[in-house]
Amino acid sequence: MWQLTSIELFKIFKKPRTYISFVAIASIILLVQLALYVDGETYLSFVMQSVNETFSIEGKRLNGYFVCYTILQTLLVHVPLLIALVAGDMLAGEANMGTLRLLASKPISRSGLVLSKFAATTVYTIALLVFMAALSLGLSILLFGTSDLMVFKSDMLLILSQKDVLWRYFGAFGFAMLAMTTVASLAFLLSVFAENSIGPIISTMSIIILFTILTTMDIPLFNSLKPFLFTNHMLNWKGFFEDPVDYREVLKSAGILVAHIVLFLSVVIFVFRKKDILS
Amino acid sequence: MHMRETLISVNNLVKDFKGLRAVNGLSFTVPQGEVYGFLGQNGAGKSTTIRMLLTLVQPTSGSIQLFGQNLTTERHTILRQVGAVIERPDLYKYLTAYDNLRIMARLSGVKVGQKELMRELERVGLGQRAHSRVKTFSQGMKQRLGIACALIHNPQLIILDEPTNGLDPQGIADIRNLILHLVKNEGKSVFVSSHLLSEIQLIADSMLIIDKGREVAQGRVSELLNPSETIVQLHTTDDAATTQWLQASQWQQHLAPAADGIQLRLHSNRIPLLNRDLVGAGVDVLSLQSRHSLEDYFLSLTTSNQHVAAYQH
Repeated sequence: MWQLTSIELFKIFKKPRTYISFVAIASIILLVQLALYVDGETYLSFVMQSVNETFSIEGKRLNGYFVCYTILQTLLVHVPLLIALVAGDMLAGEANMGTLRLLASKPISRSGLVLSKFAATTVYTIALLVFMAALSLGLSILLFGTSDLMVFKSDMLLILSQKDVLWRYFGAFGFAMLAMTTVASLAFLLSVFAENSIGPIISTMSIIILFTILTTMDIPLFNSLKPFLFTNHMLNWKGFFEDPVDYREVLKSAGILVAHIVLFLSVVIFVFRKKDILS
Repeated sequence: MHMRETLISVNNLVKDFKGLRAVNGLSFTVPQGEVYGFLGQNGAGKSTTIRMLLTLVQPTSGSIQLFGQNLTTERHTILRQVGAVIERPDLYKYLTAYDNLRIMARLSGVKVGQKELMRELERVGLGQRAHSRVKTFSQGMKQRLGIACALIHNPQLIILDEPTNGLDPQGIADIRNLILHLVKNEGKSVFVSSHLLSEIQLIADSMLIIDKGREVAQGRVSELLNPSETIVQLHTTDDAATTQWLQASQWQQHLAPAADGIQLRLHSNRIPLLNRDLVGAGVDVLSLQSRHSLEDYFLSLTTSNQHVAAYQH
């Protein structure tokens, strides 16, 4: 299994398209950091417009933690596309290249092949998020320093003590890895039905966009659907920035995401084991 | 003369694809240590059969045994001893020839060192291009790399699906020589498909010809292409009844598939005897003519209709 996974990782990281995601993430983060470094106070004044009328907040408001939180809020919506770019290619891309028949005619089980491919996709997903964490948190702390974190909610402003923030980021990034692995498993699932990677990538994004719209719109009919939409649970990384953290809610969402991963992966194995490989 | 061990044994193999029967009751055996040709025109069911031999496609019914073992239950053990190039030699274009070969060796369950990998690449004439990406390769180079990938784990059986497709004359000759070398000098067995009789004729010891998923003929190439045999075209007042009579007579073994009328495969000096038997049985013979040689007959079975029409004109 490890040997198969290492081969899959070798293929992923030798493929130029893999690095599109890393370059895209680095570009966005560096641009946001540059913009906030140059004119962050103006942005902060705009964001705090309503708060400033009532409160006077002293201290280093524009710090690494705040910058990282701002980046995460913006970027985590777009990362699924970058994940789908690789996950959607895992089986459909091989079918398109004609290499799937090479793999499936080797003395390895089809289930083992699927699991190793998914393991490699998960490693890629984790690597992408570690890279994102290093840039958005590590570099932001280096550039902007640390201080208390202001978190703007719809009805309140939460200020978290500087000493009480770093572990929350570890939790949030850990949760984001799980959420993005769910996206990867969805793209992987769609990949087993396709013979080129464009279909699974676009389908994954379409499903996420549709579910996100249903999640964010406050309409009674949609509200009843929300508990069943994995996109609703994907956003619960924000739960780590509540005070106190509602662990029950965070764990429930994590459990639902894990259940989705297991379900999607089981379907892939079931379908792939029975599939006639004609590509 | 000693009996050769059976390497592939296929029994009543059937494959249906959504209402289309691609392979229809195919049975054949392939002996060890020879080149076995698998001939049929495009769409005859060759690739589907090969995919079933490699577990890429699941048969609708029938059984396959390789090395005397059931392919379904002993898949891993069997596939370790099989190397294959299926249709186009598609490989990872963004990887080098060396990396492709190394990956294929590991997937085949063998650990191969750098020296062995380079030796294999040199054997197929790609030693100088070992570290070039496959996307820069010509069709012929890809084909040779595909064959290197099929051979890297030293398999006993090599399955090649249309290995000369898209190659220039020199490339075709190289592949042909490599196949003969593998069988004669390394004791391998090669199962090779083609839609060209001329190709199979040059390298195969035995062959199976299929059309529309069914067997048309099988046997030793030298016997099947016996120049003293001919195809006799027969037309009578009632072809269906005549066919029934022939099937029940000594001529049954000479009946050959025909698109129109009745065809028999037999030595030319037996034609008068056939005629006497037909008349004696009360068959009204409208015409009985020796149409063409066996080679022409097989060509007509393994070439597209348009091609045959053009050839006849």
